[in-house]
Amino acid sequence: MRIVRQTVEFEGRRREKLEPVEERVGLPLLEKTWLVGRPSPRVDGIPRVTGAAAYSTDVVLPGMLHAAILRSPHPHARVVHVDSSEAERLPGVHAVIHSGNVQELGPLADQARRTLGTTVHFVGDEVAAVAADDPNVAADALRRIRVRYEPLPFVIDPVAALEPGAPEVLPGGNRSGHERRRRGDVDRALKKAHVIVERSLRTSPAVHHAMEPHASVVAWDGDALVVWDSTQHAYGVRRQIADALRLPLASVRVVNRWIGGGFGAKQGMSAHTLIAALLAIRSGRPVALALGRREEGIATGHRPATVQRITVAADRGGRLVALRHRAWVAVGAGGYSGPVTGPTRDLYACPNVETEELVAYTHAGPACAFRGPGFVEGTVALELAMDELAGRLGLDPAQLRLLNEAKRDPDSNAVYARKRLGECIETGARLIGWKGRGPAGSGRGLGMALEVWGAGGWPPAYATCALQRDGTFLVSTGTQDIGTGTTTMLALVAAEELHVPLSRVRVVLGDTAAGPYAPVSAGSATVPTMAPAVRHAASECRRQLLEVAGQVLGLEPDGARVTLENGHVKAGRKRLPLASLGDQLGDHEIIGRGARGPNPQAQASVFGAQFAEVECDRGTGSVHVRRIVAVHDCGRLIDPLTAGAQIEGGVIQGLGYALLEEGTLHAPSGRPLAADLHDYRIATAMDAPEIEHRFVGAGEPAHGCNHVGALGLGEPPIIPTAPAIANAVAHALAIRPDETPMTPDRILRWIAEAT
Amino acid sequence: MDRGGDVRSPPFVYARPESSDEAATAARAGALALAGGTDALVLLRLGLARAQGVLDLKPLGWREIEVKSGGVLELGALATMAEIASSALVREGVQTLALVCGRVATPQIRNVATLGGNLLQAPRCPYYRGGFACMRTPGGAGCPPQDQGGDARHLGIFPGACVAAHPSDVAVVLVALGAGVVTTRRTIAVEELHRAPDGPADTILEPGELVTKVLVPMSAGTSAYARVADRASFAFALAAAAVRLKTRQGRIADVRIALGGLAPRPIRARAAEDALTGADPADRAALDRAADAALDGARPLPGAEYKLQLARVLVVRAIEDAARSEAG
Repeated sequence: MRIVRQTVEFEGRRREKLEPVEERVGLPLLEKTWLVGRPSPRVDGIPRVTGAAAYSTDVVLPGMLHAAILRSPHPHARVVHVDSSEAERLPGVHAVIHSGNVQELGPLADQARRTLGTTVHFVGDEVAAVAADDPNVAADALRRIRVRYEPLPFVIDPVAALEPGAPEVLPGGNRSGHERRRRGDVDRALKKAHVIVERSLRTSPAVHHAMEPHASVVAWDGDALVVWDSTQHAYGVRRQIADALRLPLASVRVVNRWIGGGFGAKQGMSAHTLIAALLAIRSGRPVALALGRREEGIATGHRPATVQRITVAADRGGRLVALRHRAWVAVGAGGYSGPVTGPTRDLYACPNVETEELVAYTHAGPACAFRGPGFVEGTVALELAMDELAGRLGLDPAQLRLLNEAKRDPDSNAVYARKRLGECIETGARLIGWKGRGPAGSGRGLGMALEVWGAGGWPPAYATCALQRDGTFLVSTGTQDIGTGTTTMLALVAAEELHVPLSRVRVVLGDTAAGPYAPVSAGSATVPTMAPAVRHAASECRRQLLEVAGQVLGLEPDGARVTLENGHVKAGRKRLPLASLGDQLGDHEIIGRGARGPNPQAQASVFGAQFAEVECDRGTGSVHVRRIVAVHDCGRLIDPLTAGAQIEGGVIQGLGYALLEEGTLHAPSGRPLAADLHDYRIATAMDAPEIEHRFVGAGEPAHGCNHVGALGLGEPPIIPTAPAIANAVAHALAIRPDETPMTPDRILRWIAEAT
Repeated sequence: MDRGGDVRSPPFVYARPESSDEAATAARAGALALAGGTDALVLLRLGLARAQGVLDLKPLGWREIEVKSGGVLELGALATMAEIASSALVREGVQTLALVCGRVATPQIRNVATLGGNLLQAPRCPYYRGGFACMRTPGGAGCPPQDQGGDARHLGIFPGACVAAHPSDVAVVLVALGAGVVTTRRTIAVEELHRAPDGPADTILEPGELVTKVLVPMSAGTSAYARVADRASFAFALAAAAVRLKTRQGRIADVRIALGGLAPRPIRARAAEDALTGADPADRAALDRAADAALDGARPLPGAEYKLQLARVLVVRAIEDAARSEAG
């Protein structure tokens, strides 16, 4: 092994890392393909839609208990006393844990206190948990736990949370982060600018609400622990569970075979998983803990609320001369924020840029990554300002964006692996009919927005590929398919390399016991990370197989001149079906091991342009999104069907963010006002517009990123949707939106302000 | 503190009555009437309804849709939204009602949700359903958005002890159509069924009184319904207006207007009706005056002011639509 230094980008943030490199990962770039890139239906589609797939909560074990969590009704309080005696005496209740009895867990008490502490920091914070024979008894038991709280002052606004004297969320102050970045001299550039646009924007919290709620089933298998968990990272949960329970890593197995979506809210071990494990220890029984929809709404993470101010300035010709973007972000109790001002640094060529993010802890559920974290929020502000700038300059918004396209990464000056954003803009403009856009205020609007996102993946990641004696191949890896089609795409990559029909390859994933390490399925990284690892494994399997086949066929021992074609090994006129080779080998296995190689120097960003056509009702403030045209470039496509599904899902989710979704808290009490799917409005099928998507360069590999030539597409589709809709609404009604979601009340206010 | 003794919850009873008398008796004794179950079961789960059992009304039938003598359309209280929407009798007799029933919630819900259940559904107020204590929740008091402030955008705009917005589109249409409900005791106008709540109840029904059918006059004239919601489906109206009118020689001779989404009950806008009678439906100024009259007395909480404009626009549009269909 050798060690290289490389840049890794995750969720919009880059860092330098030392990476050990496996030898022989340097495969040549996959140029021509025979299978990859052809539309292929999901290999696991039927069990997913028929209900045959066993998601975490479908796992039923002998003696299994059902757990439930008692949650705080206060945004901030001291838990003075917990009386669980009545709950404990309820027939069918096997274990109750809370801050008052965690000492009974002995060496694990400290871990338990982290989750079931004596202070609660948000409405929905965990206070106690029970395990019982069935979910109804568990719910009944929760009602019998009496908790005495001492309510404490709380703060939920990010600006207020950072003011002196604000109630402290966590010891050490409410400032979670304060990042200032600058290049050039913004003040000087503003003095010379021809046009300066200033905008402010307030964005609301948005909740993931994956179709499958968070759920874990925890069971002992002798002295080993098995955890079925709906998670985006089996190996990560394994490490965190082992750490928390002080178990050897090898004694913990995490299974996440089927997952009904994550969107960022399932990236690591959640509190409920630890609680389920503690209850399993306490009761000596398997424990299932599935969260309800309201719990999803208040306690499993969200996209944080932001308050943003942005200044964009250009010279007479429309070239950007200065960008200044400041964001206050409310991340709840101990939560996380993506880089809200990232797009302002990365999207356009501009010599003078200043960004500042003030990230505040607040008395709300912890925020976490949510599909394109930070960039979704920030791109709305940036692209609204760009459209206003175009208007003030008398330039077409598409033209302004083309004019300011960055040829290299404007922040790092790195060379892009590939950038065809101009082509995306031109294609999208043609498809939406941008030329006939017409003047603002007609009620019908066209708007556009761009997207940049780092989607290059990273090492380490591993896979194996084994020839079976019947001539089929088994690919094993510790990655997971969170609903994105990973299983299908990896099977395609292996079948491509092995030159066998797709049906001859089986991919096993979603189980730490079944496959080697793979990273979190997040950061649009799964394809660019796993596809090269799987291709490497398949290639190694093929190399060994040809070596063996050459000898079996009585040819050169090194396998030269032996090829693998359509399920057969071939040498000259000799042809041997793989099944015959397998037969002759019997139970001797040919196993190829693959690893993800290091990232090259190129900046693996992906780009896209989306265009929205809306119809707005000036009398009622209603918006109807008729059409979205989405043109993206993410390198070579593995499966156009799956890629199209990512676009459609991202666009519909982005439409919800633009127009509907609002995970607000009631300011006077800190309680959620939209915890369930009645008050928290995600887009329905009836809201979905006509979506037309195109991929630029879909059949060509991206150079300089990885040997499959594919980049990520998980997050990019959601990033430009809300700003494209916002610009279309602004165009339709000649208004200046300053808040999302753009609900009728707000649209009517903007109309009144504009007249 | 250990109080000892059996702490188990009493068993939950599911009952299927064989007659309406039996049903009324059980309902009087505190059983929760269950029709489609799309709201009742949610209320039980949220702790907003408390009952030791449910009384399944479905064995009683009550789902026929018939035209009676005198031009009255009779709808069983247990007819589902989907049945009403697809009934040829309703589509021909009172098309607006069929259209509105066909747009309630989602197809899945329309397949089970009943007419009676729709009229009697509990408030969709985010405070009421969101775990806040208020005058309408068991053991609660007050009205959080009025007492403490906070987001009022989805609430009603008329002053009262409760400012929830009544969620039923169907009720608003029925008020405009001059429909009545038949209960196990009496016949009352739909307009009289709901009242301004001063506690949990928002209807005049007495304990054990069950709605058995709805009577809709199919009198001459046309009707229209206009609503705005913030989502294309599965969202309650932010504001809505239903109108039924008859014209004579180009003038409005008879008109009924009802508003939804603005108060804890459907509102009959009599002042607007008076203002319109005798007016030319093409006279936009008259329509605007009527819309203003309909909203006389509204006092929206901060943030809900936009509903004044929404309602004005919808009243005008519903009148125009109804007048257009009559002209056509």
